[in-house]
Amino acid sequence: MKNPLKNISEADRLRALRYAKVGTGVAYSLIRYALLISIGFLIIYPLLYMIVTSIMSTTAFNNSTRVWIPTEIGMKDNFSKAIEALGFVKSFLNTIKLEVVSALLEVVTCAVIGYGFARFDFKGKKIFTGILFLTILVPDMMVLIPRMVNYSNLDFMFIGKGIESLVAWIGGLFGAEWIINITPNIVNTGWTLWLPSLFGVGLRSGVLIYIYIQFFSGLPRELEEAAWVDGAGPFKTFLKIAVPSSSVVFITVLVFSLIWHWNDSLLSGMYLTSDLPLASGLNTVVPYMVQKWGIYFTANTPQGASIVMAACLLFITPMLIFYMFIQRGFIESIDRVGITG
Amino acid sequence: MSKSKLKKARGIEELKSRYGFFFVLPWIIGLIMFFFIPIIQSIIYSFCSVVVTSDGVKTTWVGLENYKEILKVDPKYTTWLTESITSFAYSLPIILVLSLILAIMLNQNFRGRVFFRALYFLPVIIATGKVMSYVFTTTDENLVEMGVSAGMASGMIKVEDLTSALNMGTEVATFISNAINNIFNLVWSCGIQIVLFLAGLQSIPSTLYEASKVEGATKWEEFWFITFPMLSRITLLVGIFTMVELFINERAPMIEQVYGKMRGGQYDIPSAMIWFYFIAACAIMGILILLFYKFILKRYEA
Amino acid sequence: MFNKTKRILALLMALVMVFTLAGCGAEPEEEISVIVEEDIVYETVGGNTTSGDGTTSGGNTTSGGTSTPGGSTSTPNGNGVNPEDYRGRTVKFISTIDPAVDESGPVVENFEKEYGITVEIIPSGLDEHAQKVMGLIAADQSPDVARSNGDFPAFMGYLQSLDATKIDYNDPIWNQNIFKMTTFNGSPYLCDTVGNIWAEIDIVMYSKSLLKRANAYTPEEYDAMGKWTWDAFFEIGKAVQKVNNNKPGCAINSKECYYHAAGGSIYKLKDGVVSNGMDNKTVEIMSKYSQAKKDNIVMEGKSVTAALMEGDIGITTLHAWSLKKTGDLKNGKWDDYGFYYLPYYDEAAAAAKQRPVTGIFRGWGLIKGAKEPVAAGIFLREYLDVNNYDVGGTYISPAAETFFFEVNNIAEYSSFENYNPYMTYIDMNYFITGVKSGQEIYHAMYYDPNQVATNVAAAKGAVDKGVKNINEFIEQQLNSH
Repeated sequence: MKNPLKNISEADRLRALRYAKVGTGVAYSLIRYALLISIGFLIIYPLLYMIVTSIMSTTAFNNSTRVWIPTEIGMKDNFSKAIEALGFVKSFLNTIKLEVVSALLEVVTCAVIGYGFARFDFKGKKIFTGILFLTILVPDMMVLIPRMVNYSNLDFMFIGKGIESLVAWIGGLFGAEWIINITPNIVNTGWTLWLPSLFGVGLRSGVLIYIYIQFFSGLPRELEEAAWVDGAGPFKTFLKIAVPSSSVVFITVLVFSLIWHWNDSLLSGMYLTSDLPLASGLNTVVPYMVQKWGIYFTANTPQGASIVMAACLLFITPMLIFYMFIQRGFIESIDRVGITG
Repeated sequence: MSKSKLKKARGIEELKSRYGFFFVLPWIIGLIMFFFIPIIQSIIYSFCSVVVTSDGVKTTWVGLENYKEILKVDPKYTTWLTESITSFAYSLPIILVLSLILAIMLNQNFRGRVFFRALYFLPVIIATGKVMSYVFTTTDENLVEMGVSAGMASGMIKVEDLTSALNMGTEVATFISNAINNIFNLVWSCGIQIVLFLAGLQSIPSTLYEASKVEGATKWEEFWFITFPMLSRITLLVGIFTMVELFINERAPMIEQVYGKMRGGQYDIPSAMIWFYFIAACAIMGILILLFYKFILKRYEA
Repeated sequence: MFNKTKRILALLMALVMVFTLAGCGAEPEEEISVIVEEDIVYETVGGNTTSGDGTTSGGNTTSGGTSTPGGSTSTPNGNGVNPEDYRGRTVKFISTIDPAVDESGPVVENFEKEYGITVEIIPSGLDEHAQKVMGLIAADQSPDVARSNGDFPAFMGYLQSLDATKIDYNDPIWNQNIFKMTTFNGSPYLCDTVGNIWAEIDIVMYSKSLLKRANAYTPEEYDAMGKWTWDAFFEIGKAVQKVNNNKPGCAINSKECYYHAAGGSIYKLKDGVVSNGMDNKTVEIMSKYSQAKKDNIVMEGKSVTAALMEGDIGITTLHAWSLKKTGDLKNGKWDDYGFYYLPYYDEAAAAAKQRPVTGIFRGWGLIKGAKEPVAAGIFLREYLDVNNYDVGGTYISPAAETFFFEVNNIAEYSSFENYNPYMTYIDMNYFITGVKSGQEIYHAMYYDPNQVATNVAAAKGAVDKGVKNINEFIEQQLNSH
């Protein structure tokens, strides 16, 4: 059932908002605030906890285990230690190089693939849709180790191995036993992350493709039909027509993809042995603390908790800042045009 | 004349389908290289005994033995399965309903709505494995200690202390902290759902509401006859997303166990565990989706 | 469209049925678990100190005291390995420790300069350690050396025996106990040295003034009487409690430390086979603690160092690292603090001077598929040699320094056979053993004394299963070669 009225005037929008109220009056307003604040508390509590703990100094921690206003602030010490333990600057740059690039690649690739699914009816489409769901469902951990082996001998659809055996066979005919090794080992390079993203099978790509499909299906066909008639090829149509009207979904997908990639420690931790991104750095904060300063991490150890919380804060801050900036566009743009069709 | 028009149409369709294929081609290549091969490997692992040796990964075929072991011999697997399914059963409706309610509220025009919208999306940004586990550190001595839980009494009262003081058993303590944890987890799982519902709500045209106002519909009727049906498509999307999340995310009971085993270096048993779990999950999801389709069909016919 | 979906569904259901039928044989055993297992993420992080861990001394060596800086010896080892043959090679070391960060940095640098062997450090987090190593092995990119930090039996999954390193097992710097304990199929898997900088030992620290006020004997005085046992420890606690506003008088930094230092064990490892180590002593030991907790003698829930510094408790067990200038107690009143060895299990042990130890496996091993085993051996010999380290001057006081080295070099160590899985690596070992030490074993100490016996019986059952799983795992790993 298609939505007949996509582009509504501003006045209509405001009226819709007004009418969408379930009830009127102060009582309802209070209930709403009460509910939102109480549930919101659950969300903000850990954040507050992190902030408060990370600025406490050691003595404040000992003094009162859980009071909200620390008696003494040792922010500089905690944060500088956290920065050091994380290897912040280097990790940050690595994260940008690896994860952010990967996320951007994914946003672009999945758009292309999603458009293909949404607009065209090719052979075996049903099967491929099913496979798409499969990619969404299968957890990453299951394919981790086999992929690792795969990466160490990266084979482009068996072509590499095929050529190798062919060469070996030919060589064997002539008594020469040499093999060209054309299956590179990409473990510990950025390609382990970039390559899957480039092909639309990166981190949670399935979900992104699905979002794109939903969105592109909802776009009005008339413009595209017009472009076809005018003789534009499909790709041109895609670029010139579909993309410009999809700012919403691009922003949405970008937000999701970036957040997921930023927080990913599984993939990068597994496939990289050096130059690790920030999420993996978080893993090594505690051993670093223990090793360098002899500070352990339990809820009761003074500085341990503070440094770890400071590290966590440092980790999520870039994402928070990014979200603050994009939030306007993100949430308000959802207001303007729906994602669904 | 009409014949040639038809011919042209078919030509375009064919052309279109070929083009579509090209759009999807990179994905198909990616699938073969990075998805199918590992999946097949993983399935093979589940039928073998796997040991990592100096010469690589050695697999010895043992047939259904891994499966027999987890289903018959190991009493814990079936427990985890039922745990997963029960937690899924109550989490799904709660999350859907909660997200919908929150989205409706956040859709309305009130002071601070932008702030609250941002707030409710926050969990998505923060909830990664490491950060969450740091905040929720549990040690052996205290069931739940750091950060959240223990009734939001800021961990001042340890649940265990409370229950042992009142002479209740460990079961009660576990139950209470589990309950608290669950509420917390549920709220934190709603972030993306709220965003999607918001988007759906926004796309309902206002004219419908106006018309219903003229007809004198109550708010309740408004909800059930306009909002709900118009949201059905997005509800499906949210539903699917939530179901997948519940089954696959790292804190799910089964996933935690499997990942732990894999981190300990075993690959055969966890693969079997997860494939069985996967089939069960697919079956459940398939049934639910089918039911939902039927449900919607009924609606539209009515 | 629906027909197809229905068909697929039916297929899935059929598959599920097939598997269920295949598995639907015997009923799963009834497991008596006192504590319901939780589904809270057990991503415990390293150093999550419910410490009480490893001491790595033993054997007959009393080396390690203040050391000569630098100065490594580069004589060929007893197996005729000439280090000169290995110049220019690279040793890959996967570790949660970064030499750049602690005192081992200069040692590694010197090693590289002197031997011409490059050392490449691969960092890894604690809980992903095994997984990462195994992934690298599977990808034919094995590192050479790994540090095993209490992950037994998990390390059997990624280590091979040390034979290929050609190190000289009779070299006096090695801790022979570790060799003995980790010998499987006749070859040792881990090596370690006595008193190196990573040794973690527990000691006892007390506040002299508080003990005086309570009219209690100090640990030294008890020991002189031959009575420095855990009973004495709790007596001190009781005495302090009386004069200190009824606050608990003593504290223990981890139940694990107490349990093992008091002579209890969970698993026993001998000749490559694991067995159940819980026995009658277990109930006795745990009841003692439970009783002390009930009488409010033992403090729980607060940082022990904080409590000591604020005068809440009179005596506590602690990491020996607190004796360092950078340790937890650096802001404490050092003229008031005394430190001593852990109490003996009982008076018989005191008479025999059998110092207690909490047995944890810590060592360095050779990874399966290592490319440079011999170079790795040369590296380990230097890296772990205590004489290469200059650690003087990092302690609070000269007395502390002397005591620290004494404690690190206790010659008589009893029952290293009392192996216990290091608490921090619950997940790494749990998923092989199936037993969560914290919840299923040590918890028995937390509740009322008359519940201890039942809890221990349940724990014993759990440990039996753990034993079986461990032995199976070890066998599987050994038989795959």
